[in-house]
Amino acid sequence: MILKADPDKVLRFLEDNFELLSALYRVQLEHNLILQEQFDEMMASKANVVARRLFDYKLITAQANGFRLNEPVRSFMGFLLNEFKPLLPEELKKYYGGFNGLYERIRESSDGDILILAERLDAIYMEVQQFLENVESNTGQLLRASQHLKANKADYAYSERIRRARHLIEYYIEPLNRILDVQKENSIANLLNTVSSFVNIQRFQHPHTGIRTRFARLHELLRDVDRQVLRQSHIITRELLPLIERLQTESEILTGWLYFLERPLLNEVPPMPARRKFSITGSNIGASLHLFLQQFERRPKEIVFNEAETKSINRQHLYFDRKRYQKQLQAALPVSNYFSWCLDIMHQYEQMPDTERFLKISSLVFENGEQYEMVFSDERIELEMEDAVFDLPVIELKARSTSVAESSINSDHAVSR
Amino acid sequence: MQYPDNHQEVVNALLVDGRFLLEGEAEFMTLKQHLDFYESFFVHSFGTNLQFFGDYAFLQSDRDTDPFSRDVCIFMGVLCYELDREGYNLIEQLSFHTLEFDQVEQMLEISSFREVMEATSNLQDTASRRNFYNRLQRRHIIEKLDDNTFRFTPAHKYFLEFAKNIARSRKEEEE
Repeated sequence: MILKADPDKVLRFLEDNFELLSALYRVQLEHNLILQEQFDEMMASKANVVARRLFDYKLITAQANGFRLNEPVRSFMGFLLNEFKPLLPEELKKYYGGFNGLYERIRESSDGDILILAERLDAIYMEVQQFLENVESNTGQLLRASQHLKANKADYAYSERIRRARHLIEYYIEPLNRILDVQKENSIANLLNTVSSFVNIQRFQHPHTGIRTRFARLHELLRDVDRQVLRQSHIITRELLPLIERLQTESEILTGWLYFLERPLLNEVPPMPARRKFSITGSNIGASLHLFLQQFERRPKEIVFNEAETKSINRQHLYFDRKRYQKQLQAALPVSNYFSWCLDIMHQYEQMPDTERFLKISSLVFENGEQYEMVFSDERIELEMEDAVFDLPVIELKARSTSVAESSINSDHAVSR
Repeated sequence: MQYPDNHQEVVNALLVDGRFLLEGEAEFMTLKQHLDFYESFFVHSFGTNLQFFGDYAFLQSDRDTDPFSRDVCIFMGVLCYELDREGYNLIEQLSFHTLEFDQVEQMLEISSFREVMEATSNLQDTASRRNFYNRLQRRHIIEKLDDNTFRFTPAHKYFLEFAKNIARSRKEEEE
């Protein structure tokens, strides 16, 4: 193959026209071939020289009914874009024959010609490497395809999703799993295992140094393959299969519900036990009662009771009838325990007895102090209100001599007039 | 004749309350340990079949099925459809996650299956659905975690299986 330019120049051309080449790659990925019309359409906005160089640099070759990217270019673009068609497992299976043939030959010739043995070892090394790369890109693509199916559920009808999911499982994922399953007798993983144990012995036993090095290198690679295959196999069993299966069951469930909801009141429903009430105090009474009471549980929280507000409003409306208390006090004299009398009288007349009211009542005696005679005793008394406890002396209250009292009442009248 | 411990609780739960027994309950354990006994006990005493699955169990009778079952199916059907439409992972959401009543209500309100819900007296509006949720809880199909959150118990799988079977039998018919 004669290139009409230096390799680095070709690479630069590829870089300059990367978008065009990606587009070509994608068309070929989809249709296996770039048709003349498609090619013309893509080249319409390009200079003629670009088209000419594509052929000059052998990036593209003409075929009977269209064009193809040259194979090395195609795989390079695939690698760059990380977009492939997943390989059919049959394509991977060809490696089984390759490995097996080479392995047999190597075993046979391990005591013979050094040169051909070295070449065969190199060949199997390359093959294994290729196989590994293929498997990796394959699981990657399958995972992507399944995730795509999962994420773009709006794009596909349910039946279409099931069909695609089944297709992926049946033709790609399960066969790939069989290839990678070490437990299966005919799997490639199993064969590689056998090769590996043979190579492991040879890398110490073989008399020739160069060959020993090759065996050792192959052994390293095979160990790596072992790890990689295990990882890929894990991806399949742990991610791919559940993902696809879930897709399938979910679609099934939804399809089922959609059928059901077409005629929701006529379709049959799954039998379900009815409750049986044997006696009035059955075990469900407790639960029902609890349920019944539950609706009240939240009520108090919903109605916010602001204490400060209600009190101040009421206070405005409640009138403190000083005169009445004065009269009551006069009538009650002598009082043996003044403060407890105040408490009693408050409870008797007040609709909303509280501390403040109590203090107002007990101040009566100080307003007309000259009418009363107070006798303080040493005893003390504790009176409890709703928000306070008063520790008060016991006071005995008597009326002062009448003349003084009358004159003071008269003077009161004088002031009011 | 010796009855297993918890016998009364088992019978009460399955027969009187008509509810699902779930793995983790003492009654479920008793049932599991004396499965043969209970299978014949319920058939011979009450003519009902004990349905025992890995993580839930209940009594099935051909003669009397609770109309509640239809309500549950309609509710589950619409909910599954809406969850899927909103891009949730259906099975994961029902099996492992909690749901909020507010969120469910919102989904049902805007659902394209509103007509179906309105035609079902137990599901027609928020008030009747609140009642419905309580009944789901009583039958141990959901478990309320607090006022607003709940999760489905394994019993919901019974209804999902039902849906799967519809899809399968329809498919067979078509083929």
